[in-house]
Amino acid sequence: VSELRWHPLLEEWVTVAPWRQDRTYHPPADHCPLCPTRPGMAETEIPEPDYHIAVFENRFPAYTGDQGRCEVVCYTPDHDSSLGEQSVDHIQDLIEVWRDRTDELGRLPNVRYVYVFENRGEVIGVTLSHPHGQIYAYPFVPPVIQRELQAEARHKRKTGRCLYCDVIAGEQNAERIVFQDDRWIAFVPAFARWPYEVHLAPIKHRGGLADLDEADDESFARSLKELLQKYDRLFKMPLPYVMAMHQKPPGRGGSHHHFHVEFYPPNRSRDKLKYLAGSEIGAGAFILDARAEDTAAELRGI
Amino acid sequence: MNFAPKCTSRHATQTPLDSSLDAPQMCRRVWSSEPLKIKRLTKRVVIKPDGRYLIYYERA
Repeated sequence: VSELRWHPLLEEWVTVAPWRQDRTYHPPADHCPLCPTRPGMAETEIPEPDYHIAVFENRFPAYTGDQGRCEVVCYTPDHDSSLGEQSVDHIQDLIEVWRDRTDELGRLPNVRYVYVFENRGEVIGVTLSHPHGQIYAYPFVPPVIQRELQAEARHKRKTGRCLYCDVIAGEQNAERIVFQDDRWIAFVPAFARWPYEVHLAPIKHRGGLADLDEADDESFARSLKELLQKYDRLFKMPLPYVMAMHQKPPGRGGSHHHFHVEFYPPNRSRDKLKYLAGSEIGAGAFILDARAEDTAAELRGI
Repeated sequence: MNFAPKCTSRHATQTPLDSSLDAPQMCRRVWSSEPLKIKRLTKRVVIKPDGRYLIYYERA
């Protein structure tokens, strides 16, 4: 298992998992471990010749056994596809998978947080190009989520309201809204730290995937597809991104948390990336050379 | 002060979140509800030769 080391200055856990150094690195497409096993070819992670959606334990996990889990979610058997290219119906199936995994992993005795995410694109550090996401079941609440929960708890104590509901209410002048329907909203938050960062959130207060009803799911699936298609239209290329689902922690607590999905594409133009450098890495202070109002207008218009 | 000997999971007596080594937690892990039921899909679990699980989610 991994070793967790406490960072006394930042008061957060660092996970040490040296075996991950040997993980599969950019295999050729005909040796993709996330494709179904084709007749006459070597067995992949998925021995059957086809699948709808498949989930398996990561071969090189950061957390396993009593510590937690790391899972790989294969969205589709089609190697050359992407999440945004799936049908709304298929994405609704995927939402059900994410919800089922969140529930099951959240019941493991030492798991304190279940994090659903996707890394897309080589510049993000993706080592397998097959469309897939990941789920980490952590033995602690990760620091970004913890800070969010603390801010939300303070706001709730002070005002009696949900912080994120107030953030959404503050977007009603439409300047930073990318699109919305009666259930979900996509917007570039005023406090965005990445040029084309977008938050996708249920307008009504929901704590996590488990709190969504069927109509929420459908709207979520449609919104997710719309946003990812806009991203790929932005620079006329598959836009790299990190997709981060911020759900409430497992159990009965965290009711003040508002579920939302954050997207961080690293591109500031087609061929220029925003790098995390001295200010961001060394001091934790993001400096952004784009206005949320401008990037929202750009995304709205495509 | 050397934090390494006690503030690692290797040296902690149980989980790293026990006792004084705790990172602050926001909620107690208390479950009372039944596990969620999936509606749109069926689920088939296969154990791989190395002990890892693989779950096929299929259209119901």
